Amino acid sequence: MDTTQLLKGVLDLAVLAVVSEEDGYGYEVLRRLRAAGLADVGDASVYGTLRRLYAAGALTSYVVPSDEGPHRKYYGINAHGRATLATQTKTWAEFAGTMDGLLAGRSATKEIR
Amino acid sequence: MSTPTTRQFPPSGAGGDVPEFLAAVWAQLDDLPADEVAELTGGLEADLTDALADSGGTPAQLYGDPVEYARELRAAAGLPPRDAAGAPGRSRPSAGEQIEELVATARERTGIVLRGLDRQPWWPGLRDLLVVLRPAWWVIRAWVAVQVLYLVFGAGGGGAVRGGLGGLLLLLVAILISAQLGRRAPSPDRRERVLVTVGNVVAVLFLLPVMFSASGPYPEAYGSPQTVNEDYPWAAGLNNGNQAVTNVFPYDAEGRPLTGVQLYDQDGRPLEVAEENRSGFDESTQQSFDLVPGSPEGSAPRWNSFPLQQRLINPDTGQAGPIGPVPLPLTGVPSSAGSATGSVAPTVAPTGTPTTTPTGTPTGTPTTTPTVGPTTTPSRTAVPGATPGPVTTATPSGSR
Repeated sequence: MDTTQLLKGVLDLAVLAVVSEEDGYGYEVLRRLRAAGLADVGDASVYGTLRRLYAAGALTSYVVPSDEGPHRKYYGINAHGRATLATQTKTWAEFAGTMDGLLAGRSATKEIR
Repeated sequence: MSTPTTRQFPPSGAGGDVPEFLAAVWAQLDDLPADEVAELTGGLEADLTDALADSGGTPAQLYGDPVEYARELRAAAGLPPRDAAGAPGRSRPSAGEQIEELVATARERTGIVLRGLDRQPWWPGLRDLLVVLRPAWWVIRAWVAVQVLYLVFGAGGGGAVRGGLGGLLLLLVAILISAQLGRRAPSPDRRERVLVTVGNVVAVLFLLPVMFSASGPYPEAYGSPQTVNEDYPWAAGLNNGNQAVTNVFPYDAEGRPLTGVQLYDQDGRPLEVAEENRSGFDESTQQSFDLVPGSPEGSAPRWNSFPLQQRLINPDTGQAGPIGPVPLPLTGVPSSAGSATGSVAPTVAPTGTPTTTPTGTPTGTPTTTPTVGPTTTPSRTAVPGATPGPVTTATPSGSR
């Protein structure tokens, strides 16, 4: 099964979770996602998601000048982002539980939200 | 090396570096508003650079096609796909799109250059100075715009407005518009931003030409050569500097005045006193006069035969007097009035003791052997008087 299709649905949640631990710039967030096991996540997808979450008001952003390279754009989570993270975490947990049950054949009739 | 506008990135590592890859990505975002693009790609260079530093490859190896990369970036950022009009590999983009692409590329290149400048120790000070000077540019470009308007609408419409209150008002209005355009934040309308950019480029290009044309002495008439000639009469005939020459007094090596010397220029054209200078009024003698060419009898008048002679006009009767020589000039000293004799040789002739000018009328003494005239004329020119026959005397006035 192609995990990139699955990732699309949960990338927001994954990125929010990573940034909520610690502020990070694009490539750093990407690295942490991969280190956590999401090896297939695409660079541009992560960067685009960061921009979109920022535009939606879930993240803050600030630029840190670098001595020898281009400026890095850091992202941090804010209150709105934490609320979103909490809601989506709950949604994911229920969804994952439903899928687990479905796949285990135990609660096949449980309604999926 | 591939350029951003080709949208074809080298498939493998040959020359693929981050700025180039970024430029190709930028080209895929040029349909978006500038602030959105800035938001989307801010920090992207750092991300790519770090990723490459970790993996040790090229952007092409790491990410493949920049077009695909840009598509993924847009999709993840929740932006619409690049519209059909901007998709690669399609029919020719319109002129507007090409301009926008140029502007986007230029802006992206400028960004890279500016970032390089940021590392220079002298740049911050210079940048602050330039920022302070922005209003000056707003005024200058307004002035250029008004000058261009004058040029476009020509002397007829511009001349009436230019000098007066109307010109001042027009300039003030232009400055207000220009300053307002510069002062406020960039417009969200992409077309308007492109227009302003094009306007700035045009203003820079026209600055120097407009400066030169506007500083001319006759502003309401520039660009029309015939008018210039009316205002510069010394453009025709013999001139010394910007002053008309009405006569020429040749001397030989000994400092003796010569007569009947025919003068030609490097192209064999006779050097003649301009027609409008062939008569005049002598301030020192209060005498009107007509200049008379030295010509042999029966031939066409030779206005290049010097010195010219003169015919004084009787102020009472208006009748012309007899032809006589023009007094030799003394450097800085007016010559004695109208006398044909007793003139003094100029001080530039050290060996010349005061010599007398020829008495009598030269036209009455034809000689058969010209001595000076033929040998001093350009070889390419058929010189009148070179053939044996009646010619004006061309001998030094002081006889040997």
